[in-house]
Amino acid sequence: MSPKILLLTVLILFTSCVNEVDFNQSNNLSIQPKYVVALVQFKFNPTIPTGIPIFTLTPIEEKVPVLLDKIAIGSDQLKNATIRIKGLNTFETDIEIEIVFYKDNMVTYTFQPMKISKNATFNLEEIIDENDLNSFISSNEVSVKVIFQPFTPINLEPELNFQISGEFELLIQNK
Amino acid sequence: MRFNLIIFLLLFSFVSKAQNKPILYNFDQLPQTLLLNPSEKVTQKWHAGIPFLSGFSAHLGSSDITVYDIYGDDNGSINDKVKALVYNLKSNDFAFINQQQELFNIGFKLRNQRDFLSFGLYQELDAIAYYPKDLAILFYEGNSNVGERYSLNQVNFKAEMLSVLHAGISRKIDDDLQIGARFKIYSGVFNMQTRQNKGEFYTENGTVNQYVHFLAGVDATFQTSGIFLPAGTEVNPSYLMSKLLLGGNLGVGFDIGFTYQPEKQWTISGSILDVGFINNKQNNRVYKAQGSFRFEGIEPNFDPNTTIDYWEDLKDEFEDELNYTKTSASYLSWRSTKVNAQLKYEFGEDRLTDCFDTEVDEGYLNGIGAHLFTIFRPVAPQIAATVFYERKFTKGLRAKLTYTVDSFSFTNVGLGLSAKIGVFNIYGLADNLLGYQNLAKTNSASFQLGMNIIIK
Repeated sequence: MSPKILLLTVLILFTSCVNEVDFNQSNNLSIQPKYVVALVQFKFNPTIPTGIPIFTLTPIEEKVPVLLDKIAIGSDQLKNATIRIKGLNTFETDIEIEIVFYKDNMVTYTFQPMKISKNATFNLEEIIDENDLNSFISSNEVSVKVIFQPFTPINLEPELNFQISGEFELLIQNK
Repeated sequence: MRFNLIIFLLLFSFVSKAQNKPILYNFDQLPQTLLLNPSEKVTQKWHAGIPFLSGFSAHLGSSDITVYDIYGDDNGSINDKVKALVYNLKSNDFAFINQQQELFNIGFKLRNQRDFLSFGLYQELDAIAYYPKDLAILFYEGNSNVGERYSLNQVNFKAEMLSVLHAGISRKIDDDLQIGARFKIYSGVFNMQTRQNKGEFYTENGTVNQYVHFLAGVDATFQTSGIFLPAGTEVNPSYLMSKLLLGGNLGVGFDIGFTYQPEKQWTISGSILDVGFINNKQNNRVYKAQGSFRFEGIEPNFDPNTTIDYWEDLKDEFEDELNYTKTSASYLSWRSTKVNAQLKYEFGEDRLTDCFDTEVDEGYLNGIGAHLFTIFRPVAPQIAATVFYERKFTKGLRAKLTYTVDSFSFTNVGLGLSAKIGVFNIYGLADNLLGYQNLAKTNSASFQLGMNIIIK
């Protein structure tokens, strides 16, 4: 008798000693972790972070990685996604911001352009529609476009704080 | 499928029967007892294990959870059961599996009649993983519980497969004392280990962004050898055999033991096993991180004149802040040293042996005693205490009944049988017999089987 057959025989004998169990229950197993993630943040005073005056650039745009595709084990496992956008604008002008998510340069989700009024805070919570979840969670980049309306500076130290974070609830099931 | 694997691993996580072999220890002068105490008194002229069948052992078990606790047909929700498992288990619960397979085993008495030489080769798979409770909770519930800290200190595991080529001698010093030693050459097939890690992960409400994520005070090392193989390497039986036959990472170790009989009916014995290490040099990959990292989201610079690879920058920053390195440096992996101690009292003179066989020590029919076992593990030693009764029924049939108490079970009753038919010996030993009524409800099970040729 080879060792493999001996081992198999022993395992089969042991299996016969296992009862009152239902291994099919694992088909009903699921967990729902919820992750919060800081995605993008930036701060403008009259210059962009590298020191260039914003008024020479506006509208200005940048695309950065978000790696949402790494958050879910599989795109169908995202149950809910909420994006929270906060802003503080102390410039004496309204600022319009456009946010678009991409996967490999293909648009996966577009937010309605948002306006941060002058000398105001901005707080948006957007729950991603169920039909858009699969596309949204595949995103690996987000572009942020900032448009300053023309104005005459009065405040000497104006600034724009902008924050994007996400809350992702997964539903991981045995398949 | 993934979940089945996770559940399997979680259940395995609590396999708690260390390499304790209280039934085999000092049992019926079996050749394999020499591997548990190199000073074992054996009276045979020589022995040879049946190649590949002389010794097979496997230990499985669970401490705080059983298969039934998860899969029990009790109309309970499996999700509730898994949740209880995740939160109720403790970070010092651990996963353990040990399996040994003898390839050959030979021993013979030397001409001086006081030394018994034995040698052989066996393969061993040994793995232990402590329950990383915080990380399991992080996986289970996510990090939305802002402010909750998840410790990396609980990440401890070690797994290795190796072969052990050994040669030992058991020497009779006088009528009362026998000592023994065994020299071992280890050949490691693979090893991976991480221990004494430090650090924590947590998320807090931020000011620059709504959340700020921290990896703080990290000091972690993960060593592997024989896991990441060169491209094209095929892991097949011939690869394993080449590694097992001294082609792997080599190491050395030893066992020592003594057997002392202050009175004819009393025996005190003890052994220290596997004091040794493997020097891992082949196909190594060693990951180290030391430092702290803070993340508040990627900050775009909006500079149209500069193209930035933010992802690469983030990776670089992460690796710089954490002093992350990936090398192929060699490292030592220490074996888990075990200690056995036993006190035995024998009674009832043996009238079953051949009165004309002057070579045979008549001995006694019954033996009772106590056995203490300790194995030194990465976090803390594990201790098990056993009491036993041993009975010789006929010249060729002996049995041993044990009751073991360890950190995980108070109902562990074991039984061993060894039969000799002519020169042929077969033995079978099983632990935790009560559990065999329904293994799904048991916390542990272990067994040892083997066949030998023994010439008296």
